[in-house]
Amino acid sequence: MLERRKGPLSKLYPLTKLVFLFCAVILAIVFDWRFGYLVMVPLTMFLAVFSGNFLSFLKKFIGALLLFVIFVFLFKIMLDKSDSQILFQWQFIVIRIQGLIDGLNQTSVLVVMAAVVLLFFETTEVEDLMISLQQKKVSHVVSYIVLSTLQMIPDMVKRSKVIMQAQQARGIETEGNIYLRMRAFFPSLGPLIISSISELEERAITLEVRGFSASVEKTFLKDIQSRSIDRILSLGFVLLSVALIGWRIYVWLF
Amino acid sequence: MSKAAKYSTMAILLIPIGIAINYVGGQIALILKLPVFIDVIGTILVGALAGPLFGAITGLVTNLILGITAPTWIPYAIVNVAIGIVAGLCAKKGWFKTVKGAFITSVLIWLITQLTANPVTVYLFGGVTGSGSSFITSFLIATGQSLWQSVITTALITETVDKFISVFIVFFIIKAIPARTLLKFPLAKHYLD
Repeated sequence: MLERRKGPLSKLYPLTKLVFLFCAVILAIVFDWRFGYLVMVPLTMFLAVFSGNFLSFLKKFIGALLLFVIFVFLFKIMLDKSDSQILFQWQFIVIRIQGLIDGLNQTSVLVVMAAVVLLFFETTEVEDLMISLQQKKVSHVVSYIVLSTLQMIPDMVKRSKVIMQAQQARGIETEGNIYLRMRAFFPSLGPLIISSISELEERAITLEVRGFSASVEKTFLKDIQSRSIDRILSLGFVLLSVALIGWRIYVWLF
Repeated sequence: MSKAAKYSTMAILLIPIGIAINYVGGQIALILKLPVFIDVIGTILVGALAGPLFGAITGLVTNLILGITAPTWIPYAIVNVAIGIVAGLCAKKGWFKTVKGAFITSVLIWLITQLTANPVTVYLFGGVTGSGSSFITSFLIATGQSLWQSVITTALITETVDKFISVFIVFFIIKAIPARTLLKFPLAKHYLD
């Protein structure tokens, strides 16, 4: 998960992209589906092409949303009792324009959120994000939790496979009827949890020896800096969002 | 190192393990093809050993980190946070020590899951949960029930057993942790006599 990334967007300061992420999600909440589907989705697609991550981005984007979007449209079309224009009719299946618009509105916020979050992590190393947050005085404990979790997950997945094989060798059935499979759950997970917890104290001592709780300023192995383009972009995103929201409120009131 | 600092380092170290347990528990349930999610064991365990604050952080970071590759997890962070808080509060009452207490904890965690997850599912996701349970919801909608009714019924079917199993797994795991390890955690006094 922490491999090096290339491309123009990866050179931006992580917090600049984080500002963009939050602005996009807030705007998606304020505006209707046209902002999401006609502005943000094409924009993130373009940015993904621009930074050279398009295929990997598209794969994750579709993987994260396909099932969800299909079901939302299914629900909205089934629940739609309006008398708007009928687009498609076959026996008892009736698709009306209102059902489709409801579906677009319902999915827009999540589609925008998924698009910007996926693009963010396509172009940002989690390590860099944590360093930039720490430069803005966020506690080093946050960095430790996030980065250590990212190492811990693949490590524990590997160990759980070893434990499951060991338990199978001892005669615990992991296939068969549901009762057998349920009985295999605890012997698979229990030893993993207890062994991880037993190792905790050693980890705590290792960390303390390295000055984890010491109340001094922490240093970084890797230095990343924000450039003037980052400040201009961040300010631009915020101003643009405030202006758009102001305009939306103005239209809504008058 | 002061006693408080040592406690908190142990509690901080417990968080990444809790998050990994959340993930691995879900994966094992998938591998064994069990019809439950079992993806909050880590949150409950950290809440039970280190208190509501650490439980809540475990819940929050779990969903944010899983959100890196599956952003639809992010809004459900609120559910996982609530579970961590409830588990922590119940542990402080000493309820993880007895079967009866664990049962009450299961009911409360089940309740808070229903109260937090269903509004997210209905308002933000339009009733879809992104898992296979959406088939149940769509079936219920097709039979003419309202969206709320369908979502709540689906959640009752899929979540109830899940939360009871999760709490009791944590209950048994805490029983299996040796006293000398248990002693290092902030809530140890609620488990040791």
